[in-house]
Amino acid sequence: MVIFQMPLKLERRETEKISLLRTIITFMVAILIAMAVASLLIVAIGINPVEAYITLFKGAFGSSYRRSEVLVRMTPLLFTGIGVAVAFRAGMFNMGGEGQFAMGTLACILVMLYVPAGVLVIPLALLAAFLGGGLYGAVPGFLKAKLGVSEAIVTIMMNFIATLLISRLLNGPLKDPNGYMPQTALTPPNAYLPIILENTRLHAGFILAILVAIIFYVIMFYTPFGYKIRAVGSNRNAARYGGYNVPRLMILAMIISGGLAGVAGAVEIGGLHHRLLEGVSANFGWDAIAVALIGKQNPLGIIVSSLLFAALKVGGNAMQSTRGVPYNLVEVLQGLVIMFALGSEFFTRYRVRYLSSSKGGTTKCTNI
Amino acid sequence: MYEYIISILPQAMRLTVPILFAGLGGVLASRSGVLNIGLEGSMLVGALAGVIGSYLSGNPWLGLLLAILAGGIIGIMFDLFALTLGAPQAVVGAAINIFSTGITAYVFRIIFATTSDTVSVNGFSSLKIPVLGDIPLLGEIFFDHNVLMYLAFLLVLVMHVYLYYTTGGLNLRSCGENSKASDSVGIKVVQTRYITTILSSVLASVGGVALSIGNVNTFVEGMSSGKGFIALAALTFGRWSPLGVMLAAFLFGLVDAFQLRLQVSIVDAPYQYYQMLPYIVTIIVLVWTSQTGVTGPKTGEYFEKETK
Repeated sequence: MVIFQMPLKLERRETEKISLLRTIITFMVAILIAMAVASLLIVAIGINPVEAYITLFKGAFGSSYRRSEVLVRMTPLLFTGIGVAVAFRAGMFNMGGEGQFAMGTLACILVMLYVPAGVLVIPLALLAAFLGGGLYGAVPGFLKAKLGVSEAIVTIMMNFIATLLISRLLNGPLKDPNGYMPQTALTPPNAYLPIILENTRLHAGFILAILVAIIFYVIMFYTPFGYKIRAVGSNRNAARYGGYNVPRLMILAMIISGGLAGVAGAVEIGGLHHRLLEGVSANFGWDAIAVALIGKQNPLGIIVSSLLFAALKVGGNAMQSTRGVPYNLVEVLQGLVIMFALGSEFFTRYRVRYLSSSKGGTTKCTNI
Repeated sequence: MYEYIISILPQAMRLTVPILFAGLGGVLASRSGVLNIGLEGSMLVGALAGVIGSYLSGNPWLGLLLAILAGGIIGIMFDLFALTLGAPQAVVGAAINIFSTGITAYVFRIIFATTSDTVSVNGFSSLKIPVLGDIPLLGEIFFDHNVLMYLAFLLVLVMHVYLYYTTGGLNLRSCGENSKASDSVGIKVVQTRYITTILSSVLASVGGVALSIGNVNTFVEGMSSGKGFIALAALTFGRWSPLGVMLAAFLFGLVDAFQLRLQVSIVDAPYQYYQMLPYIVTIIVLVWTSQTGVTGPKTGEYFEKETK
């Protein structure tokens, strides 16, 4: 096929196997293109995009405190991103991170405020959050596995329901009796996650997140359970003929997926806010989709991509406060990066060749 | 009783329109084999474009025009990445949604940041149809609305005729049934899908216009609040047909009108519980539809013509 009237030719590659280096290069190019496209929006408000991006970069990495803030932001993204990846590996699109996160925060705050568990309060709260998010994820998982209902639509509907429920509870039974704001009372100090770096907000949740990433890696690639999950994701029918209990595996994957989003919520409460209030989730459920996709559902990739998006978030705030570029540019970048990164995989299947002489159907080709 | 019906049904009709437009867009895309979950994003973009167009020109029609253009651009983006480059359609749709959330908030803040009051622009005003509009009850419910509503129902008819009584419609549907077979008889599958996806995005965008300058005459960040996804549920519930989607969209409009009515009629009510209703009903409807065992067109597959 000749592209337009140019002497270019699209050609299928003989092999679809691609090196790690090429993957990394394609992603870097995808990010650069996304930034270039988004810079049009910055130019439109009369700001030099290069300066804006420098501000963004400095805002994320300019000082040791800022670098620690990036890791603080990265923590929930790593949990939710791995959560989305687990569901993806089992062939499901969990867009319900927001709702599962919210249910995690709810379960967590109930334990922290009302269960006098002493030193056990943190593990108990984390467990409750996992169950809260996990059960909330189990519902769409069950509907998908048993009835074939679109998990994408159900998870999104459940996001709205969870957000409204939290809003109701914060304006009603859970509202701090000594306050006016729609938020709960502060948790007792024994429910605070320990700070792991002095004079920063970086808390133990970060270590837990990295641990989860490692555990995810081991389970996914070195255990029979992980193998089964991946088998369900890559070919549901083959997995069924292979004798796997496919619905059960799908539901389990959704429980783990939702559970991790729930733990992300608990970590945000225990590490940063120490109370439940509206808007605890700074879009972590949605960011998780970008994180999981860019990280190629691989724990190592997800560590890198969650770091990237955390840096974008922290730097985006700096860009807003010092340059007046609205923070939402970060979301624009996220959407573009996903599209360009996945679109670029086209070039792992095809290559563009330059026909050195377009007359007479010549076959002499030069690789680009 | 009369009082109650009159307080709910016209409102239900108004709330049906955005979902109906997006749902009709979904019919076109899914019938040709494309899974467009970016409808939510297109809707949001359309809602903002409508407000901007009307704000700059003072004329809601130019707002509609701007929204159609903006929706078209979003559709082209979807096509480029999903249909040409072959990225998974569901993922591209999700990316479109994230992108749209960001860009609408960004543009809205830039244009309207200086005004501290809520932005209010000229919207489509009510257009009472002569004679029919004077019929008691029915007139008020069906024939006393803005032009977008009449347009939506006209479109249902046009699409029904096109899809089921013309060759073009048959060809379109064949792309969603068996793309390889369609290709072998000379139907341009990718081209068809390009057009239907752009149209679906444009229609969702017009749905957004119905939401903003067709109803409240302002824009609020994230104002589509899941309606694009509810439209997808209406699509399944309505069996991927224009008439079915119309009925399904009306059901959702009715539920929404009902919960709004509950909110105003009961003082100090826990209104968040009422607001959950449309979302809960959507899930129930999806579960119920799955029980009927009807499967829709084959969507989401990347079509690649043999290049030899």
